[in-house]
Amino acid sequence: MLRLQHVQKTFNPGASNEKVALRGVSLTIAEGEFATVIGSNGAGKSTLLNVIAGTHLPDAGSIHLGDRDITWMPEHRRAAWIGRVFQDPLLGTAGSMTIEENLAMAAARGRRRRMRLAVNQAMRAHFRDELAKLGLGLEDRLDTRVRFLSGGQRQALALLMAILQRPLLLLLDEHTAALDPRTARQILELTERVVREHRLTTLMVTHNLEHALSMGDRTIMMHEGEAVLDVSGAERAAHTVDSLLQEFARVRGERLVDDKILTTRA
Amino acid sequence: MPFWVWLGSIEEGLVYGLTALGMYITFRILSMPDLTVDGTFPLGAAVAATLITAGYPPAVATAAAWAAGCLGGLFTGFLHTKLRITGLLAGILCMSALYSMNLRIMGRSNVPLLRLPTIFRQVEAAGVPYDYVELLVFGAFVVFFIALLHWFLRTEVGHALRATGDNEQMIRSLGVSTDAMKVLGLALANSLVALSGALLAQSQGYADAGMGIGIIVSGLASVIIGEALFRPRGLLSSLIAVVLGSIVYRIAILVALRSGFAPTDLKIVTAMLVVLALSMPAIKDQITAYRNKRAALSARARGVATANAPAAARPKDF
Repeated sequence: MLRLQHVQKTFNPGASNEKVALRGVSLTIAEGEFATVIGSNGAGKSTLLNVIAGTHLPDAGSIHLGDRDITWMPEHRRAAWIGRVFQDPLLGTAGSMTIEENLAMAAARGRRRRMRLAVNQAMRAHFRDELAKLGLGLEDRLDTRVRFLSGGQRQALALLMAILQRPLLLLLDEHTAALDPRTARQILELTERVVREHRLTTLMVTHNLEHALSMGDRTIMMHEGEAVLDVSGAERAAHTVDSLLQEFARVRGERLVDDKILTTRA
Repeated sequence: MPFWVWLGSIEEGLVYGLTALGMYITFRILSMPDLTVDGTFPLGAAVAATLITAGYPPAVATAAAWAAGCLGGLFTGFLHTKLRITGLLAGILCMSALYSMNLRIMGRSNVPLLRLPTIFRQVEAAGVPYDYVELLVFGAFVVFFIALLHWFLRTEVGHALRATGDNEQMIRSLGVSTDAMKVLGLALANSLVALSGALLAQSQGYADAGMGIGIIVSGLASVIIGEALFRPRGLLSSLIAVVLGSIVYRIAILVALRSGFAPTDLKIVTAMLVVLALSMPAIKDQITAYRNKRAALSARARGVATANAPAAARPKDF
């Protein structure tokens, strides 16, 4: 479903603050697969999601979604197939607009926007049903402006908006990191449910190693712009948070040694 | 004051209300103050007056003025989105270029429309009493455009436009080109501003290259006054409030003139008004912080534990 080949991205090339974010990442996610992505700050997790979504264009390499080459496609065009939830609950919804208006914008994902009223009775009924499934009581507040919702409610709405049109790929960028633990758990349960229910191909970045192992069916660890660990099935089942941490320490150690060798050679 | 004096201000408020509606689109909906309007307002006047002088029907001339305003907005939008010039600077550049352009269009700095057909003379010829022609024409345009905007802003495209001003990243991730929306919003806004200029030129009987000076500030003042006085909650009430704000602003100017201000003082009075209105949130915050500090200090002086003292609520950001 999603295929990345040797994707590279460097920010501020040539400048003193040059930062290699992705150094040739190759990755294939099968249809219906739910992969979690972990790694320390600056490992390239967010950049990975950003080049897939088109927020940033890569410097080299290729990205295919289905049989389409989306490497250089503008963000708003590939958005037709990619649903996305951001870390900041404020980013996924338009606060000055009502719940139904936000959902109507999500319902129009990937279509050419037309000059006709965006919400009609049939859609309203559909939105009400979908909101009822969240179990947050939002189905009775279609006319409420989203800015009056709590962070958790906004994030649940953002998740619903991301999957409303059944995207080919769902990108979750630490989408529970800004929520309190209880709300985070609710959103994660909701995520698990909708991803399973619609068999969505999903890439979820998380800081929580426990979630990374317990959710989905594959875990990818990134370090310094590379996918350094990629486990699924029995191999993944054998991993614990501790063994992941050890793995991480080992990788980092190797990297340090590599760098030393390089510098001594140079 | 006799009634006709008030009527004059109401009429002015209505015709400038179209400008205020345009500025509401950029300033409030796109969250992108657009300074092109100082150029597109006289552009509308220049195009309409020149075409009427050349013998075109007033309706055609007015429509052409509207379209010219669209082009002005498109140009600013192009500078801003494709050439990545900041919004404010793009507007200033376009406004400045339009000053020369307007003089080119008119061929001189002032085009009189005496004894030439205008929309107003045509409506009058259709049997409307002279005294109410302007009120009727301006009012009809305002009502029509409020209705049109109220419909448009609830369409799929209208939603995308509003979301562009609210949350660019989000609406892009839902498949909308925010660049296209900004260009569309700027074109729509400036088309209303130019229309406003075209109607004003026809009602006052001339177009003048200098008639755009200060339109930005008076338009902003109208938007802000309307919001402050009428506290609109919905879309339709916001649009109506903006036009009412424009009327209140014109009446305030009338009162200021009657109470002894020289016409040349009006710009500074308006500027002060806008500064006051825009700085309200910041001033309120500072007053709140000052009060909290005082309360905490006096509590400490009295030996009261301050940990649980309720802080005065901060006003909401929005």
